[in-house]
Amino acid sequence: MKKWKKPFVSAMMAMVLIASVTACNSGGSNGGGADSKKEEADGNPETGQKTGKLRLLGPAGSNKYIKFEDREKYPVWKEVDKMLTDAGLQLDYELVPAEQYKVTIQTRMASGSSLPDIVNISALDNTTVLNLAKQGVLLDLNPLIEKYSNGNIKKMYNEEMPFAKKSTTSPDGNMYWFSNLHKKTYQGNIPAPVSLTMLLRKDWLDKLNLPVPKTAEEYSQTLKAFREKDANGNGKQDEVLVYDPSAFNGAIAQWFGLGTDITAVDVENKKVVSPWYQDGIKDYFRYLQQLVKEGVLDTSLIGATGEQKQQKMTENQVASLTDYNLETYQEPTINGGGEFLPLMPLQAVDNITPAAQLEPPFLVWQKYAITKDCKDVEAAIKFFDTIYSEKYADLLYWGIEGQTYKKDANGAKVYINNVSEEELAKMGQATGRQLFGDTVFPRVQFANLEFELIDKPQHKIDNELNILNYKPYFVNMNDMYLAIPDDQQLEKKTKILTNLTTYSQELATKLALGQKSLDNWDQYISELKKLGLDDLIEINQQLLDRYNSIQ
Amino acid sequence: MAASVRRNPNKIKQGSVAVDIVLYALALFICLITLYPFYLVVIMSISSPTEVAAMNVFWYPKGFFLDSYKLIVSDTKMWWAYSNTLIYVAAGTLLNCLTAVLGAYPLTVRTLKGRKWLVAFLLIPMYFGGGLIPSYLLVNKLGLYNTMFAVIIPGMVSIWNIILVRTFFTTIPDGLKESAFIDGASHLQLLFRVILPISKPILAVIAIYSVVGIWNSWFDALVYLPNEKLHPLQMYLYRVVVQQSVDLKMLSLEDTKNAVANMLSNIQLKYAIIVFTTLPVIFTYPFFQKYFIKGALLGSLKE
Repeated sequence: MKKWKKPFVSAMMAMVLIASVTACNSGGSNGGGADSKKEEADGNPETGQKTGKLRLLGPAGSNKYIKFEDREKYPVWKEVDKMLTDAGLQLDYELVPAEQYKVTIQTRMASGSSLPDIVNISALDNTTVLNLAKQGVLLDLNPLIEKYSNGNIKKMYNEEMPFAKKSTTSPDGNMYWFSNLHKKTYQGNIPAPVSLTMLLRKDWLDKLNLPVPKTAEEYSQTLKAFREKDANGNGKQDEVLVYDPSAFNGAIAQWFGLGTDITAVDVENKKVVSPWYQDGIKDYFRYLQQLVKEGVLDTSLIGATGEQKQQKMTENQVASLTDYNLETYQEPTINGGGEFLPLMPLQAVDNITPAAQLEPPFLVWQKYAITKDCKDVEAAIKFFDTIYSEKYADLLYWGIEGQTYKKDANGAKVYINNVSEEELAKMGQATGRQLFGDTVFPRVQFANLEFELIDKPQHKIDNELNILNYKPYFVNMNDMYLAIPDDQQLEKKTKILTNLTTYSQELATKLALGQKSLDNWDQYISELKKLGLDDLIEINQQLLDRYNSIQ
Repeated sequence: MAASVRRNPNKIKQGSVAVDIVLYALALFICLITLYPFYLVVIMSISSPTEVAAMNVFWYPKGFFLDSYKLIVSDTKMWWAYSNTLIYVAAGTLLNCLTAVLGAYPLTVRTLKGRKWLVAFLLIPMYFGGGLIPSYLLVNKLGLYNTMFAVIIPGMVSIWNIILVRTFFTTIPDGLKESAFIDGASHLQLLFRVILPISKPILAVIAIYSVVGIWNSWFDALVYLPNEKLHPLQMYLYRVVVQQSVDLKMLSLEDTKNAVANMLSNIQLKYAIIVFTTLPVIFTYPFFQKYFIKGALLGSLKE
């Protein structure tokens, strides 16, 4: 008997373990996650409405302090919850950790089984989404809106944010997803873009008594002076410019009138251009070569990770870099402190007006779709009707008046609590955006510039107000102005971009580093043409034209 | 000199001090470059975050900062993940040993018909897999998706382990088995009362392979467990590391602020979590090291 004991005991242990797993599991798998909301009643007694049950799948927010699972303690959630209950909706949330969401949604949609009613499909690429639409996995929303909507969705899409339709209408005329909508204005109705520009260390200028550079030439002289006069005072000539010459989205390219990508949208002239064909391109590379030669441009950071660049920043070696003109997150990370001054576009070549790089004031991003497994499409449309209302937009972006925001003398909304998110979580005073934006709840944002300017130093405010009406400009998000491509266009674009992007990046880097000569220019251009640059411009021009034609 | 060489011609070959010193120095050098990464992670985890972000820490901790550990220890999610990992490791290891023994024994019975074909058949899935989506569909259709079983059951049979155990079993003298049969034992009795008690070394090898393998695995959890309460420890680590490598260029001004703040606080936190997740396995390694060598030896023979 004794010899049987050991195997017997281990077998029993295995049984116990499996049993314990089963027990854990029955608690955990219910409804797919921790965030299930159950209501006993089958209807709303006050309004006599039938309750619409919906299952929603999306990524959980990645905020460390303000978490969706603690939503009950936030007044803003109570308001939103009331709106949803009033609409007769009973929601069952399945929120997957954001870092895991892409894999989850890819496998779930590919297998096509047991789909939720409403799903956040932002993590899928365009080809996959259009294929899913074609297979009928995602429903066409237009007929559903016609049939069930109370008018909110149309009002938001047609009147408040007319740009939204242009970005979300598919080539077949259908609409397969709802989106985050964002509009930023100044003084009520002036569209307010912010800019991405070259930032220069203001405290170093002051310390060395240098003037603010007015031209590209003066800019490079200033950077040189920073090095020679040891602006950071560590005894080494290590003050550098962080700039990635492989793409054209560093602001220096725009000083030479160049677009922001291999193909870029000239919004004002409704034209797609490529920097490779623009006038200032050779001068741009000559200028970069000069910066590299003088050791100002740190070539070791070309293609570096954010962490490596951050290291330079922390070590107080970054003299200049491209970033938002209104950023305030870089300065606190500098050891010993510092201050960045955003520069206006600098004149570089005589006959070219320098362009600005702007973040568009109107944004459309993220995708929220209704799937074929949705049993109660009426409830799904009701959900989106609730979302695309001014009340929800207010709760989402601004929160509750008197608690998270107030109105200034001119009636513009500004936030009240200028404290860290950790504090906000403790106070229970988050806005909807922080608590549930980008999960299964689309963001609808009526932002303004007033609150952005409130706690900024004067030199940043001046720059922003100057840039508001600056022309010419290119945008940092070119795709925002391109309509959704059809199958053929998408396939062709993807095919071209694979090789063209690599070649363009390599070529631009080598030209900037002086490893390739500008003398062989025609050869480079013919290679770019061979890789499909002209076709790409043509397709994107078609997409831009269609974007502009959608009403 | 010449005289001393004559006196002891083998001196250099057998234990010359000079050679000893060189060898020891070499061993020490290899030891140092092996241990340094571990040491670096440990000192990074207790240095101040700004020094870590500036990559200034090389030889000793700069600034003393234990808040990362405080943050981890006070995070209930981490303890959930820890206990989940323990469950996965314990259940997975036991099941792996059980299936390996039960799968290997029949393959050693000479009277089993088609035994060679069976072994060849078992070898196929060692080289070819079904791919992610088919595996996902299978797990989903079996109702395992988003349950703990999704990471335990698909991993409980390892052909590699079966082959290892089979190889070990074939080294047991036939005479022993025959004498058991003569005494009236059945196959089950033979396996559990005769063979298993002398197979402890191979069971230890499989156990330690499984423990280490399951402790370090995260991909199955990434695919099959959307519920974070079921996540193992390595998945917790994965999320911290991934969260930090956000592409800032893809975000608008407002979103960039948060992302930068997150990235900074995570740079150092990452190291503390690595220490926390790796320590248990590192501490068990020395005790099982001899079995590892045995396992590698056994694995070199597959017939």
